[in-house]
Amino acid sequence: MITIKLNGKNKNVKKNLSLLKLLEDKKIVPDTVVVALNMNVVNQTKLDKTFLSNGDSVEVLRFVAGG
Amino acid sequence: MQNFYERHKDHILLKEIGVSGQKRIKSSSVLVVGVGGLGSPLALYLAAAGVGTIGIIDFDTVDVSNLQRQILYNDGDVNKSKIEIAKERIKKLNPKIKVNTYNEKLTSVNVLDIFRNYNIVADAADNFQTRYLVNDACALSGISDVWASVYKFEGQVSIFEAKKGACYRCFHPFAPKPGSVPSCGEGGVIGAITGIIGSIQACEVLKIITGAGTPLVGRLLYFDALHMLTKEFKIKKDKNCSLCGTNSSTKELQNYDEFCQINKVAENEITPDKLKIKLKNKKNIKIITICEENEKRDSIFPNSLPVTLNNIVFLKNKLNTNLETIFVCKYGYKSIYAIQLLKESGYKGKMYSLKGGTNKYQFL
Repeated sequence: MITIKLNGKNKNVKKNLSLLKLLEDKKIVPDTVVVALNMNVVNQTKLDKTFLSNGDSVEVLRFVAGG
Repeated sequence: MQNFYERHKDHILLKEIGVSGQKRIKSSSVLVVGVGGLGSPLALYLAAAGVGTIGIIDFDTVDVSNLQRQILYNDGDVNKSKIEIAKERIKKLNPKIKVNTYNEKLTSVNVLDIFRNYNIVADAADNFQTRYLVNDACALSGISDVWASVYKFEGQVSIFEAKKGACYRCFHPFAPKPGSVPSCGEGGVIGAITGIIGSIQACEVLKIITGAGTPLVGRLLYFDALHMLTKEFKIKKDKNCSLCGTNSSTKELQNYDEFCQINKVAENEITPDKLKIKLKNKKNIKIITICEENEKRDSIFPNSLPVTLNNIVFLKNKLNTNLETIFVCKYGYKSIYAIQLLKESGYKGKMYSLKGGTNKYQFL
């Protein structure tokens, strides 16, 4: 297990977990959110190829179009 | 000229703007896409700042529920065309500027002709189709897309400039399925956040015009008014971006309803008229109202069962597959999404979504 920060809160997750799997585990549809790893927005096409390391900070924001 | 210096004295005092910057503002032209929550403060601040030509595009009328945040409009404006009232208000604030109005929907057909007249476009629309359209047209025309969006207590702002950095598609290449992301009219929005975020948009527009400071290019500003904190994220240009990447495939505008899958799901839809007939003739119909958590229940179908999208798959074992199930929501998107989720979970019963939502449904 490794410890990451998810939206500011500590969370223990499996080693080598991808961002896509993290979203799936949280039942979040990837198209509906913006995911940032260590303050960098991760492109949707790279969520399955981006793997978490100990101490990483993940922010999941809603992808919205309201005006 | 006297009036110009008097009116804009406090901008001219700023060393980042000065007389030359203020003259640049005067000779600039900015298009505001959507004059709603964001577009109201945005257009007003641009007009007050002395932007020489302001274009506004919107085809909506003022709804009483708009008045909570859309500060261009007054109580007496309900049911009137937004664009006319907006022009009047802007001209009242600054009669020196030119205001171009477009009382129409922005589409792939008219977008390039309209954008041609402007240096900068500020995207204050309220739907994903328009946002991808604005981005693509800005990238193809080589102009800046000053983008912002709001929801509940949150706001997001960035500037998409395909020439210098990321575009909206680098930020988010695929649109969410219709209904999977609630709009302000469904999930709610605190009025003041549109004032904060629309004002940030206006500030970024003026910075681009004058060259002052560091614009939000390649950066996403996230504003959380509930906890009153901001965060900043980097957005990198995507080498494989379908629009601005090195081997991009989309060098032209596309069908944005199709891209956002607006039409794709129509097979499950039922029109209000057909639903009325069904309700008259059949008794074995179950109606499910898709609602947000804590949302005041839509009482248009008093016997319907309210369910949130998060709980929709639990219906799989509760629904009777021999009955037809009609899903309804305010605008008819979330109900389509609900059907998709149930289908994916393996539910085999017959399901329909009320086309246009309860918003369009009237008991006649």
